[in-house]
Amino acid sequence: MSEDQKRRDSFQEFYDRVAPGLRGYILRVCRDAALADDIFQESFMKFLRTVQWNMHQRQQQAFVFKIATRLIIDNFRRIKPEPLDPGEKSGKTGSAATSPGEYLGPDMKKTFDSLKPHDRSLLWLAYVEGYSHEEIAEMMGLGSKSIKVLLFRLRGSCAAELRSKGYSPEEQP
Amino acid sequence: MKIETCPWEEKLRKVLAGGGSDQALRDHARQCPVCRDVLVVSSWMLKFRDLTLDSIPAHRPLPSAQELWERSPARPVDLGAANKALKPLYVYRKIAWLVSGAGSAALLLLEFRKIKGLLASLPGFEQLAVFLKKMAESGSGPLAQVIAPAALGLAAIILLILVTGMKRGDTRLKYSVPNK
Repeated sequence: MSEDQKRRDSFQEFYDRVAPGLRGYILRVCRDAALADDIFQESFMKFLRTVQWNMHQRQQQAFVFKIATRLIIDNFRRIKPEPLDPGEKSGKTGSAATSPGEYLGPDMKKTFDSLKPHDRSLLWLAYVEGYSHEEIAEMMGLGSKSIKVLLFRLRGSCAAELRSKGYSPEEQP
Repeated sequence: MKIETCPWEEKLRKVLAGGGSDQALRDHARQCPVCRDVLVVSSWMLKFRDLTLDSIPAHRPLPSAQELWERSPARPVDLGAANKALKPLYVYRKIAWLVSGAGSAALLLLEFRKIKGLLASLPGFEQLAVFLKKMAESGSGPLAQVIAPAALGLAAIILLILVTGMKRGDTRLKYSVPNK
């Protein structure tokens, strides 16, 4: 098998694993499906141009998230507060939380969308992807101490808001 | 402002994001206010992630990996194929060096008398020749024995550096080689 074919297969495997999560991240931070698609494709184009194939898989994943995050930051001015889902515009958003464990759906989106794009990005990278302060700092072009402070504030305010709305994961099965 | 931190915080975030469930970490999170907050935010964010992935419109499918690979304008060069394609050029370059070297040597031998006459007409050359001759006749003292070969050797090294430097600059690959 040629080197080119090996890399192609390796990329296929990497893409299948990373692409859905990356797309979700970009979509939720940008809240604009067309812009998110552009950033998603551009991220992988840049990744393919610059990736070192001997990097560990987690490093490759962090690398493509870094590219996407930088592209999102470059496009912050284009990010507009528009609803992503068709139902939100017409007000057919369903009911609010009905029990402590069901604070999901529209309310979740509303809470997440009320954050600044920068904070949405930070929350996703830290709590969905599980990156360390240093990794997030590298992705966002900030110091790790700044990330620590920003995450501390975000964690506190989010946890307080979620508790005030009755969300409590400890009570779930 | 005092920032409350916990050494387990990052580990807890990583474990939860990876879908793991470490009972010791969960027990710790019940006791630690920082990790309790992490647990709340993390589990909410992971549910939000699932909700997001489920709600991505089906009419906007992901582009295939194959498509992106093909569209990538500068994906890594297959060095084996590139070297194979460039081999005639390298061979031609070697032949050019050999031919020009042999031609120069032949010209030097054929036109030796003319070159000698030309050099003799240069100002200062006569004095240099006389000086070298005198040195040779004077029984070649230890200093002269050292200086003459050293000067010739230095001149040869400078010439070699110039020639090889020019050759290296000319044949360097124009694209970077990825690390193995």
